[in-house]
Amino acid sequence: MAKILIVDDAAFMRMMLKNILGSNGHEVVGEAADGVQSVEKYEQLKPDLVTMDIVMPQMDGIAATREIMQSYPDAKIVMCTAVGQQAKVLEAMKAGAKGYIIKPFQAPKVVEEIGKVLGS
Amino acid sequence: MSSDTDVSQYLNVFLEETKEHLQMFTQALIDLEEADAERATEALNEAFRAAHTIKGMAASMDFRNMEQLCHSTEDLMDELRSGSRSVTPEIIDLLMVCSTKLEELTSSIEETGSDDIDVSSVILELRSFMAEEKEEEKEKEVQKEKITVQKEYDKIEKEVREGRKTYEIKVSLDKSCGFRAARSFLALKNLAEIGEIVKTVPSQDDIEEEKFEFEFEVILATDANEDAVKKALAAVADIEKVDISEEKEEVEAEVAKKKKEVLKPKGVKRKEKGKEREDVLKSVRISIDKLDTVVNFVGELVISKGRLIQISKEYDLEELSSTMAVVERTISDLQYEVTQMKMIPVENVFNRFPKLVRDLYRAQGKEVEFITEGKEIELDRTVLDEIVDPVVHLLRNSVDHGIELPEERERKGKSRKGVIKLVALRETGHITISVEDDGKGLDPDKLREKAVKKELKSAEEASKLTDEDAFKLIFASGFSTAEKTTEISGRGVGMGVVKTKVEALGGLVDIRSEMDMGTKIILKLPLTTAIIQALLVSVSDKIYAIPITNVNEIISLSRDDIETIHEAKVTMLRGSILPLVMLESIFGLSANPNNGNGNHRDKFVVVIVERSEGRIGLVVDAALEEQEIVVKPPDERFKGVTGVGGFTILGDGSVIPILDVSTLTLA
Repeated sequence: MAKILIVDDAAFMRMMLKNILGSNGHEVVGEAADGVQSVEKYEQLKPDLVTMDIVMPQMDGIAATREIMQSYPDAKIVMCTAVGQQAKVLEAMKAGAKGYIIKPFQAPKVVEEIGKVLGS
Repeated sequence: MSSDTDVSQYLNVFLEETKEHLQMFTQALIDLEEADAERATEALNEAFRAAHTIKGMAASMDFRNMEQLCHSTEDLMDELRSGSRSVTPEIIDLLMVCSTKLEELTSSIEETGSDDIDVSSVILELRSFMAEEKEEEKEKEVQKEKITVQKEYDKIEKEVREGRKTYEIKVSLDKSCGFRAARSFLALKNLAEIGEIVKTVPSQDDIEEEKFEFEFEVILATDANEDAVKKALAAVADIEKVDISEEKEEVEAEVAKKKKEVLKPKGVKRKEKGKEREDVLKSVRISIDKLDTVVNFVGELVISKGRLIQISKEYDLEELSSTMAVVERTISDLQYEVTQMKMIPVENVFNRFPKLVRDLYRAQGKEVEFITEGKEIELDRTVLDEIVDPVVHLLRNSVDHGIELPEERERKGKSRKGVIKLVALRETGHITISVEDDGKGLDPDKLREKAVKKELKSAEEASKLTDEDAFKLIFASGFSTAEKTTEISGRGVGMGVVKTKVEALGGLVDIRSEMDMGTKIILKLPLTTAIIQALLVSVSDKIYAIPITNVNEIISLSRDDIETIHEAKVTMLRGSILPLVMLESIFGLSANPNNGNGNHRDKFVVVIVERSEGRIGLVVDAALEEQEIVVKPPDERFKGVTGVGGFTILGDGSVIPILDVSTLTLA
């Protein structure tokens, strides 16, 4: 069971993801609705893994990933992305993200990805 | 509850957020038309984000028309953002058409539950604006690759000379893999950590641009062995197969072959957008009713577990004990999982409040900053549903009676704008939800006066109330301090209902207030209602369970510590009077308390419990142990019996009452 921080500006998405993670033995220790919050929450909660939406107000998920990776090089960040964002996802991987999951979320895919990233 | 409860729950949040984002989208378009360059960029980003968010949500809800429309809108806006296309009035008009269409889709979803509206004409129009693929770029790439081939050749030669092993690794991605470029990038990154990537086929640039199907090859020079290579790739999802072979010689031949390939004009594969959509969603929605049934079964299991543990202890067989350990752990895990399934973040209800508060204060000409904290905290769905009304009441009270009019606040030297805070906090075993305002606070004297006028208390009783107890008067039904009732709140039953509801859930209400500083009302709630932690106590050989949420501390007293005031038993605890309840007399375990066996002894165990009215001490024979119990609602025969909130079944099969401390009478 891992402690997970969910970052997404849509409460709806956080809810869906949380249900998936929660019912697969992970503990969602916190949620953030934008990049700035995500950095703060990361510092505060030191989660095992972060699910990070890309398109968000204030600071987008890629900038937030860079910021977190800078202070915590071991951070495990999984990007949440929608179809049509190939370039952004790649950019996020270059920024240090360890994986990505695609909306609409499919529970087995999410679980697999998170398992792989946690295991690495 | 019907089986589609869960869907409708998602649907409401979906509609709410979609409308919100749609509004943002439209506003951003309006701004875009009028704004200067800097604001225009911002507006464009806002509109893009809004469309993007709606797309993601629509896809999750399986509203394909809406998703596709958003997707095309987003594509066009992406071009505007990147500057490859400039914003023209025609484009804004078209985007406005999209906005209207999205509104139609939203209404249709709200009314009929489906987004069955034709969007193809709008999508076609959007597409007609899109940029064409540029041919000359391909040519440039071929040139670039010629140069890299030479570099690769040099590199491999160097590695071989230095004696490192080179592996040829063929990676096949899963067919369902979305974003092959990003996935491959991760694989390459992991490989680069254990060695040097000499070359890839196709080139790394092509991989990054997703110019390949599902396979790519890597030549890796490394000191690591084959297992390390496999391990590096195992950490990446969506990899179907990995073939590793050690590259022997023929480097030159290989390079030559590749050269030929590179020089041959390459058919750039079109990206297969939408491929990932073909996968069927692999989750199901379950109604709360069904979950509750599962929770009940797990409850039965928990009870049997207790019994089994006892049996296994009695027989003390090694095999039995070790099997029991596994069963015990599995049942605990199962119980945890099931409980988690019913937990949802409080924000599901918190998010409705800002608008409610805003409507209220604006209607009254007040100014309020509304802050919510701890929205991510999770609570049992059943508990959460029950506390919506109480919280609405508290918020209304804060706006109506707490926060003063701006002028009045100024006179008091406060800022014109009042603050109302709604905070959820997770504490051990329970959560608290508090509503706090910086308004006028409660006037204890006024409350005392009112209590006398309403004949709730005698003048003497009222004068003896501490300020804290006076505040609690507002929970009495028929009590209202507002000079006139407002349109929406303050009918005098509200606070009483809040208290009743919260206590029915096994929680309690606390209140703090200071004149002109504000009021804070705290609801202490159990995390879940089905399976709770309880303290088992014995009274005259009978066992009772006390919910741990209520238990404050356990003390032991000697006979001399107990005093009698007006026929009521009390004790002094750290300087204040603690009313005592002799449980055995309440439950008629011994008709005459003076003959009760408890009174023959010199030592008493007192469990101090907290309730909305303050703390009381329950005198028991012994505090036994703390354990998880499954709450069963009270039997018909016991409905309305004060002091009993339900029953539970212990491991040995015995049925014991769960005390409801809020209704225990001070006898």
